[in-house]
Amino acid sequence: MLVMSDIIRGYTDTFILAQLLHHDSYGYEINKAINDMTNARFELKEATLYTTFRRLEHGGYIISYWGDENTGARRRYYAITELGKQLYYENLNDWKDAKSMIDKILEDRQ
Amino acid sequence: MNSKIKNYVDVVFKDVPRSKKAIELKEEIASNLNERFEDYLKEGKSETESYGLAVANMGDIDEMIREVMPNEDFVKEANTYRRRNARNTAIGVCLYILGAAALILFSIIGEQVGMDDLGGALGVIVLLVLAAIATSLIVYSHMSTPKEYKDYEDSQEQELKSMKPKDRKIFEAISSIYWLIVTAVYLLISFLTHAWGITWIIWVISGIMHQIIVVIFQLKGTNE
Repeated sequence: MLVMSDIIRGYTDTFILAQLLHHDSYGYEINKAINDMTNARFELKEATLYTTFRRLEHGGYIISYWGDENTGARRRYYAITELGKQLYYENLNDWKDAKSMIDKILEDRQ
Repeated sequence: MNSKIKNYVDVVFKDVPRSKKAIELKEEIASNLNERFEDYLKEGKSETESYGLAVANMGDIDEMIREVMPNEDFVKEANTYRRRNARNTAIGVCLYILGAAALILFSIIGEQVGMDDLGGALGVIVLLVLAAIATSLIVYSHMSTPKEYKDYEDSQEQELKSMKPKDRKIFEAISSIYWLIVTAVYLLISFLTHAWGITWIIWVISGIMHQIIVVIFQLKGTNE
């Protein structure tokens, strides 16, 4: 399980980029979507989420803007940039390569 | 916004200097946390349970806070800007006063040599030139300071921070009364003596005395 959580940690950036690929979103919504998708088996910690947002924004992969909610607190939305889309597809391909490679190595031993 | 959530975020950000980055992060966290909290409530959980669950999901707060804390380089640079701006403001104020002095000087010389108009005109021109230099110096200083350094709390706030909350309140009260009295004294003396040319020195003396009060309060804070 340690290895599992390490793998997941390496893909935090890509998880967020994947969520933003379809539409702009904000912290809680992204986390909730991932939670729903995995049937509550996985959810990012909020602190990790904000740290990742800052890192991605600093690198120019996403941009942020404030929503204009009429009620309650303002939400900070994030949108993916062209650079972010490139990174997403690069990471996706890396993952597919790694996955098929690991599959081959592991399944050959059976 | 739920008051417990607001309180929690306030505590987390208690010691973080209020830079723009920190304020935005705080607002972002508060709004997301509150939405999560409300979702738990909708699921039928009690308020206490919802609060606990929402907060439990925060994770490693320290790492997140570290990112919005000003690092050493930032503080150093902010101080460089602060010193530069202080110097430029001082030079600017000095030029304004010199301008006024020049106006008086040229008027007197003009009177002495019997060319009142020329003396007055020259005085005004010198005053305006000096004022233009002073104003552009001050405006340039402030416009060329990057926003994040401007957001960084000014030295006065840092001085206040080293005091205990109770002392700080007393200090602020004394401060506001002090400046009111200084203003009253300045106007009174100036109107009575008509010595406007010299009474500005009251501000300089008051400034030094104010600094002494600050130091007294700071020493009191460190002794206890």
